[in-house]
Amino acid sequence: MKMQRNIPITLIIATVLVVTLSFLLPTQQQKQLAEIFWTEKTFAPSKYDLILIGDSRTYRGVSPDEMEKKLTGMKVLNFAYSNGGLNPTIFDAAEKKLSTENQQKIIILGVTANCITGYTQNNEQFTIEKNRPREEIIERRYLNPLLYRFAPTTIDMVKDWITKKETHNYYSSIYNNNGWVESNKYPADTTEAIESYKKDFTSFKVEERYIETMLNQVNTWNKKGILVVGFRPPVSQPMRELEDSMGLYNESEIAARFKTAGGHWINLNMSEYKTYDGSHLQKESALKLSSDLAKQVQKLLDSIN
Amino acid sequence: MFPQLVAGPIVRAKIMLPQLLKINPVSREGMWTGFRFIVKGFFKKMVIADNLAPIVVAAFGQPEITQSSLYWWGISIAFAFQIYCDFAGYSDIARGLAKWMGYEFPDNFNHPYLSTSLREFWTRWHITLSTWFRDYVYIPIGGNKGSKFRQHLNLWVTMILSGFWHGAEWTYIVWGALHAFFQSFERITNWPSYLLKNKFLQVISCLLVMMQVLVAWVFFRAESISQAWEIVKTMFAFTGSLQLGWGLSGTILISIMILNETIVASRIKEKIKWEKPIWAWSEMIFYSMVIAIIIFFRGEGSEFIYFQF
Repeated sequence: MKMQRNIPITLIIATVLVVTLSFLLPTQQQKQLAEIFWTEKTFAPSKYDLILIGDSRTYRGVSPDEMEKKLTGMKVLNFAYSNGGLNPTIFDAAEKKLSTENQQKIIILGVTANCITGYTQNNEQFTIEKNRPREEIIERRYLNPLLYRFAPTTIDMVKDWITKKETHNYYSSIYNNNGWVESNKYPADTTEAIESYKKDFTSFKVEERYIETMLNQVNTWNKKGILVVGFRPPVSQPMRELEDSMGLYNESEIAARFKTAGGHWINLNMSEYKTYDGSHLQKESALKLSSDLAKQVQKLLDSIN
Repeated sequence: MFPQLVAGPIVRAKIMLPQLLKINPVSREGMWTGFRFIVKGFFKKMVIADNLAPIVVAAFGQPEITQSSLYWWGISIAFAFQIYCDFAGYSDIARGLAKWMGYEFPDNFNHPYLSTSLREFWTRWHITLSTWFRDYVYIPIGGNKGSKFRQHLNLWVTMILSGFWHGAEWTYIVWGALHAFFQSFERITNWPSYLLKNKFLQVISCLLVMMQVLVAWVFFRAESISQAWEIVKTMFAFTGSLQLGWGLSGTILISIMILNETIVASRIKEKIKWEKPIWAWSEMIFYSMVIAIIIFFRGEGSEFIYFQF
C-alpha cells in the first residue's frame, strides 16, 4: 500500500528544523533589530523624565541605562537621530515624550556643529521614522521582535561560520533599550570621519539662525520649568579643530549664550574620551560620558533643590 | 481566479469553466501535490530568483561594460535562471493553490532549458502564453499554411508581437525578433535534426539552443539596445578575465538549478518506487528542509518580474 505523505508532519519537522537553525545559523538580525530600535524610539510613550536630543554622536555616546543608575528613580530616553538637527521638529517631539507626572523634567541637547548647520535641518531620519505607514510600524514593533531570530542569512555568512573564519576587522552596533547604540570598531581609526566632515563643512557651516532657534527653545523650556542642559559631545582633537575652523563652531560663545537663555552648559574634558572614528565614542567612553553627564545633572538638581 | 496571479498561468475558459460547474473534492494526495507545488514555487522565487537578482542588477547597472566574455556569459546564465525561477516559481504557487481548491491549472513551464531546438523551447517556456499566441495570433494569420515566405512572416509577426506584449521597449521587440530569426534559421537549415542521433549530440544541441536563448535574454534584460549590443559583442570577443561574476552564492544557486534540470533529464525520478514508506519519509523530510532553506536563505523580497508586463 502506498504510504500517504502528510503535510502536518512535514510542517512539524520543518518547524523543529527552523527553530533549531535559528539558534545555530549566523543571520542578518542586526537589520531587523535596528528597525525595531528606531521605531520604538520614535514611538516611545510619554513617560520619561529626561530626554536627550542630538545627532549620532549623542545616540552612540549616551546610555540612558547608565544615566538611570546615577539618577535614581528617573526614566531616561535617548531621542537622538542620525543627522538630527536641533530645530522645532525634534523639540516638539521630544517635549511630548516627557512624563506628565513628574515635576522635574530635563532635556539635554548634544550640541554638535552638525546639529546647527543647514545640513541637518530636515531631520530626515526622524521624519522618515515618524511618517512610516501604519502597517510597517505594527510590523516593526510587534512582529519583528518575535521574528527577528528568523532573519535571513547568506551563503557567504554560512561559509564563514562553517570554516570558522574569524574576522579581525569589525564594526559593531548593538541596539540597546531607550535609544543608545553601543558602538565599537576594530581597529579604530580616529581619522576616518575627518574627510567626510571636511566635505560637509565646505557647503554647510554653523549658522546664526539655527543657534537662535535653539536658544529660543531653551528659553521657552526654561520658562516652562524644564531644566535644559547643553553639552558638546566629545570628539577627537583634530575633529574638534576642524569643526571650530571649517564649521565655524564657537563653543565658548554658544555655551555663554546657552546659559543666558536659561540653560545649563556642561563642559567636558574631551581628552578623557576615546572615539573609534574621530567622531563617535567607543562603548567604554560612551558609558563614561553617560555617567559624567548624570553626575553633572544630579549636581544641578541638588543645587536647584 | 484567486490562485491565478496577474501574469498567468493563462487559463482558457474551456479548461476552467467545466471545473467551476462542480465541486471538486481534494484528496490527500492532491493536497500533498499542491503543497509540493507551493513549496517548490517559493523556493524558486525566494531562494533562487531573489538571490540571483542582485548579481544581475549589479552587472547590468554598471556604467561601463565589464570587458570579459566569460563574465557576461555567466551573468546571462544568472539572468536566465533568475527569470525562469521567478516566473516558474509563481506559476507553481498558483498551480499549488488551485490544486488545494480542487482545480487543475495547466503546466506553464516544462524544463525549457533542456530543449534541443528553439521550436521545442517555445513548447516548454510560458506554455500558456505561447499556446495563446499560437492559437490567437499565429494560426489566425495563416500559421503553417501558404508559401514558405508567408510561414516565416507569420512566425516573425507572432514573435515580435510576443516581445511587444512584454512592454513598449525596443529591447523586448529585438528579443522577439531574435527568437524569430533563430527559429527561421532553424526551420531553413533544420540543424537540430542532425544532432539528435545520440545523447552526446543531444547535449550539444541543448547547449546551442541555450546559447541562442542567452543572447536573446541579454536584449530582454538590458537597459538599452546599445548596452545589449555592447554586451553581446563582449560575449563573442572571447577576451578578459576568467571570472563568471557569480560569486559563491551565484555558483551554488545556479548549480542547484543545473543539478535539478539534470536530474529531470536523467529520469531518475521515474525509476524510484515512491510508494515505499522510506521514500514517503524522505520526501517529507526533504520538503521540511526546503522550507527551512526558504526561511533562512530568502533573498531581498522583490516583485515578480512578470508582474510588470
